[in-house]
Amino acid sequence: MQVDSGTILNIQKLSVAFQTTSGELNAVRGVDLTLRRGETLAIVGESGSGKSVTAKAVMGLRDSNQIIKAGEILYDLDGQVTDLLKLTKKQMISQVNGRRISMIFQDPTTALNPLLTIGYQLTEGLRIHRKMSRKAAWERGVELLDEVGITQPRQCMKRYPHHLSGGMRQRVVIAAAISCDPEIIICDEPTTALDVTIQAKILELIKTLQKKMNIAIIYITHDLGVVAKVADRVAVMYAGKIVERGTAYEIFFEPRHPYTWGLLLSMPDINAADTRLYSIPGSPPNLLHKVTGDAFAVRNEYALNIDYEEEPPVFKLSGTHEVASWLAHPDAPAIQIPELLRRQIEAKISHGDEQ
Amino acid sequence: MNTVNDNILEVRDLKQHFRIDRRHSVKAVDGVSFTIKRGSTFGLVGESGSGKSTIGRTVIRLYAPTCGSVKLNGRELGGKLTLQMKQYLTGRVQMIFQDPMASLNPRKKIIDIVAEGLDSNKPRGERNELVYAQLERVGLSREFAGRYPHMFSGGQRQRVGIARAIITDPELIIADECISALDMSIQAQVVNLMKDLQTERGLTYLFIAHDLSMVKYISDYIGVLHMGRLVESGTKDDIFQNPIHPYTKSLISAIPEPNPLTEPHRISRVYDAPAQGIVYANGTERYLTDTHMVLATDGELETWIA
Repeated sequence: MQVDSGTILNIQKLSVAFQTTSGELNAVRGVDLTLRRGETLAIVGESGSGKSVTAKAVMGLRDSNQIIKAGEILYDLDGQVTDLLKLTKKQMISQVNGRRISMIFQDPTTALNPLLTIGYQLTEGLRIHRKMSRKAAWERGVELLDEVGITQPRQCMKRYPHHLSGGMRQRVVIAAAISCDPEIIICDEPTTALDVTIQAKILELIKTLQKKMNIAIIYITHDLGVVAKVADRVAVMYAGKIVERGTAYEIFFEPRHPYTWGLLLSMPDINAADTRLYSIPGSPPNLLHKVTGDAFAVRNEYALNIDYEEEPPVFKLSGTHEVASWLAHPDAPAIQIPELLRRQIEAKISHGDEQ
Repeated sequence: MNTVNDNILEVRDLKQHFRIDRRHSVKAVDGVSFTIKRGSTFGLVGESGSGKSTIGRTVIRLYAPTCGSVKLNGRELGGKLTLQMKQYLTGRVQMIFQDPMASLNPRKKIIDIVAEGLDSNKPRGERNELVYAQLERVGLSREFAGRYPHMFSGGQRQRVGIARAIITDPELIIADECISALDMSIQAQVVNLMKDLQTERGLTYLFIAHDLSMVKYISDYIGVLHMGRLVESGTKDDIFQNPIHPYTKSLISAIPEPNPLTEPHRISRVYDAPAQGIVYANGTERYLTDTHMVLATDGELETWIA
């Protein structure tokens, strides 16, 4: 498998399971993903859909009961295409983590060590990966804090995490993530723990930095509003598989998978009248059990008979748009997207044209 | 007594200060007034630390208010509670918490958790039947009664929380961020259930959340809290169609819209009270209409409306 130009990360058929007391839990069941330089890819899905597990596999954050069943994660390491899954923990830490791929976690409070100063934690990567002297690293740290919009960065360097508010802490985490000029940043629900006003500011900050430094970002989130704000391409995950992927436009305005319809409909529409909220019936499958057919079939009102028997293959709809649903098969009955959703999409498109 | 029937809850100039030491205290809630009409939903929004949860907890008397009055059906809840008042309060006001895992005792069976609010001297059979009825009402089957909280998913646990709240047949339910920990599709299920229960039983909700889009969906009236003060309140349309206070405007502008055509270019408004010279203590409550209130001084109001 070649990593073509422009693609910096290529996940192939990744399957991850967890050994639990009640059996093997197949959290990720064959995920293919590519990431291009400088783009933003959003992975959306409910909790338990495997989006975080996929991201953690890229970072080499392996739980002790985790088994990589299959697949490879190809990444260009110093001109040599390497499978990140084959690297040891030590190699990951010294060559990849923080240096080339860094991660921003959901809760900045637990991501920072409460016993160390901001300055120490922020400059750790610079000292270790970049072999900078303490003094030089400190000066660079001050610049970084300034870059992420912290006023009085010099004072802030000497503070401890508990001195700062949640939004400020997340800014520090972002500063640490960009400190070694990474190529890829994985953001795992970076704003879920923050207030909406701060969320907007943090998203805007990440976006500006991304443009400036040409970083590729993988966003993991369940908030479609956030996806619309940041993403170039979107992958929708359900029960350990990618059920639909495409550009943000395709996912929001030309969705084909019934699960994507359900997700879009369950967002309260801020401009709509008081209709009843749509909710996807039922709950996600238990991945401890073997899934036959389409995992979404039992919650899908448009399910065909074949959905219960055979897993749907991936159908290509355009160069960028793919869907794993039997409904996209040429012989399947033509099912239109729900009337309510169609109207919402039309309203959004016309709203977009106005501006 | 028309007012008693109309307003289930009246909060007047409520203050809740927490003392840290002899000299310092945190003014979590600093002079908040609002009323909730029977059968309606009042949404309380604000960022963390704005005092929204504190208000909810004071209403159900987890805290004794520092000063001000809280009236439930015209009866005063402030000050020292008499035994009678306590009995009046429990059962009539219930609470649903944010994290259903933390608010359900992991060592108790669902049936005992849900039945806890009932009279302890109810005959066993009657008690169990009541629990089954509530479970079925919230969409759980009666077989679940013998199970423990860890055997459920997040959405199901929150349904258990709702069943526990409605079993005493309350008039007012305080929902403190009760859907924030749930997934989008499950949030919709829980919110729909809450709305159904409201129409069925004429429940009143005090809905506390930071997610404005969901608050807009469920609420009839909305109060916007910031730094322990209610900066703006009114009907849903007052707040969303005609927001006056700059803080409300910044909150609304911060909601990300699920529209990839407009959202990437939109920049949210910044709100910085000290920089804009807004001191809440100087402002007074000004009513633009019967329902729409803004906390402002004369000068501020003029510039904001203009």
